[in-house]
Amino acid sequence: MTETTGTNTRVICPKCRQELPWFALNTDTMSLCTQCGSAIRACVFPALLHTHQPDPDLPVPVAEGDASCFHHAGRKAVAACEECGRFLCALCRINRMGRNVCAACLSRQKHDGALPNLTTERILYQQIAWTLTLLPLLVFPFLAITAPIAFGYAIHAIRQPPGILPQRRWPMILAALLALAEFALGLWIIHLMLDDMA
Amino acid sequence: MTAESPSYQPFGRSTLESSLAYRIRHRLFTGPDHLLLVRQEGYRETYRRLYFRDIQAVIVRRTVWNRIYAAWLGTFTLAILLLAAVLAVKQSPPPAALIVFLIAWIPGLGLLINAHRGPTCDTWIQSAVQSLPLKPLNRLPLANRFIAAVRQPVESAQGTLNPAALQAFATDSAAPSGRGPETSSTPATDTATIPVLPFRPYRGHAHTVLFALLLVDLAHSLFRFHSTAPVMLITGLILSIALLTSLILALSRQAGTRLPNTIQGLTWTTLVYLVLAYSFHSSLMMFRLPTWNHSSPASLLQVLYPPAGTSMITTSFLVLSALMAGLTGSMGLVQLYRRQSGHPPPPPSPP
Repeated sequence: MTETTGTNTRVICPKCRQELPWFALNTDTMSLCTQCGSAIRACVFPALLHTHQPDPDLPVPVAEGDASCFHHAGRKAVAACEECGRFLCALCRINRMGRNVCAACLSRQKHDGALPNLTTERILYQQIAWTLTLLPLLVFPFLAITAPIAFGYAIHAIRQPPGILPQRRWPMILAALLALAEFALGLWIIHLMLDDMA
Repeated sequence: MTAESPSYQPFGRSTLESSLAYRIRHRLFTGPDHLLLVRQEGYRETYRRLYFRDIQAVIVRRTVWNRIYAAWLGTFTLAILLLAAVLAVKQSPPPAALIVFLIAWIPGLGLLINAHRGPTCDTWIQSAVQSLPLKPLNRLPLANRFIAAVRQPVESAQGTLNPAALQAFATDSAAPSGRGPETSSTPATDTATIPVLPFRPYRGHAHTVLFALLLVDLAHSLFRFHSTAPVMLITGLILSIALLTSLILALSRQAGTRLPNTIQGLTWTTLVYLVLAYSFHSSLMMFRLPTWNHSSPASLLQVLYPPAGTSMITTSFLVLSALMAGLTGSMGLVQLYRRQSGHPPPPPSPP
């Protein structure tokens, strides 16, 4: 079974994609799928029974004397963005931890790393730095070229805002120091090679 | 605005999904109000959040991989121990037997760890809009621990599920008219719109032939200890071709059938075993071919298939082959017999 998206309204067997009978749900032991015979344990929660009701807080048209939304001139403003002060209709208002913000401010904060809770991906500069520090040791004549790049990535990893998962700082510092040492080694190797040629 | 940094607790160990082309690491964390699925591919980490208030179900399906691992590791341990015993009996230098005995601990330790971690499983988490695999939860005890751990936060976010309401919901959703009074405001989900793949009828003949041939292979390997006649070698070649043919047939027939997972797993195990055995045999042949003196075809056969007992490598290979063939063949036939006696065969497909 592959990852699926869609509207789920029933619990299905991951193997045969058939609906599991109700007596196989919420049991403390394994039950057999009546279709494929797989041993299954399905723990169901109340969200399965809930239906999504339409949002009652729909935007309303602007009336005489009312403030209108910054983005939708025909809709009544219900709040102001607490970051930029723009008026927002019910559609544009985003309630973020009890604060009303607009989509643009939220996007900017996410980009600045101020909202780690919304982060969906992260580049692992620390691992790039370590790869560039260790792998070129196999091709040591190029150390003078790869070491500065590794050092750059290590510094970038140190300066990066903290991610959502805990990350130790000392491996990044160690990678930067190793890259510096490798750069010195690379220069020394070039010096020896030039001496040999002379 | 200050940066929000929820504290995450890792759940279970990270799981590595790798092949020649990719290497993906999966991790699972629990946060204050959600689960965090971390997928690391190369130098990029991607995060997916599943809020406790949205989780509809956690589904765990038991798989047979732990048995396959156990069969493999057990066979290797047994074969190495057998080799150590043979070395000890033949009074070879004492350290040789001891070293081989110590090597047996490597697969033996794997066998113990596999047994300690418990049965394997696939775990899925379902919300209203998606079903996601929880790759790190690949062992049953861990998945059960996970369900016990998330039940409390999910129920505090959603409330407790009344079994009677669940039964009513299931009955209503099975009825063709709709989904009952609680959900009547939404359009009824017609079960016919969800694609259902029908099972292909299959009686298991190809698998019976395959597992029976594996037992014949066991007998053949044992006979090679006593006879070096060319007819044995020719029989071996014919047996190899028959095994490969029946394996391909069994693999192509088992897809989309009701054949139990154990039998399907054993068929895949046979594929791995045959690939390894033939690779090993081919590499041995490549080493031996230069030693042929071009006298006769019979001598070529003797060079390519030396009699058992002439070298330790050949003997170990034959013992290992016999063990694997015997184990897989007998397990497969027992499983097929159980299936036949437990369930009536499916009716033949309509013309």
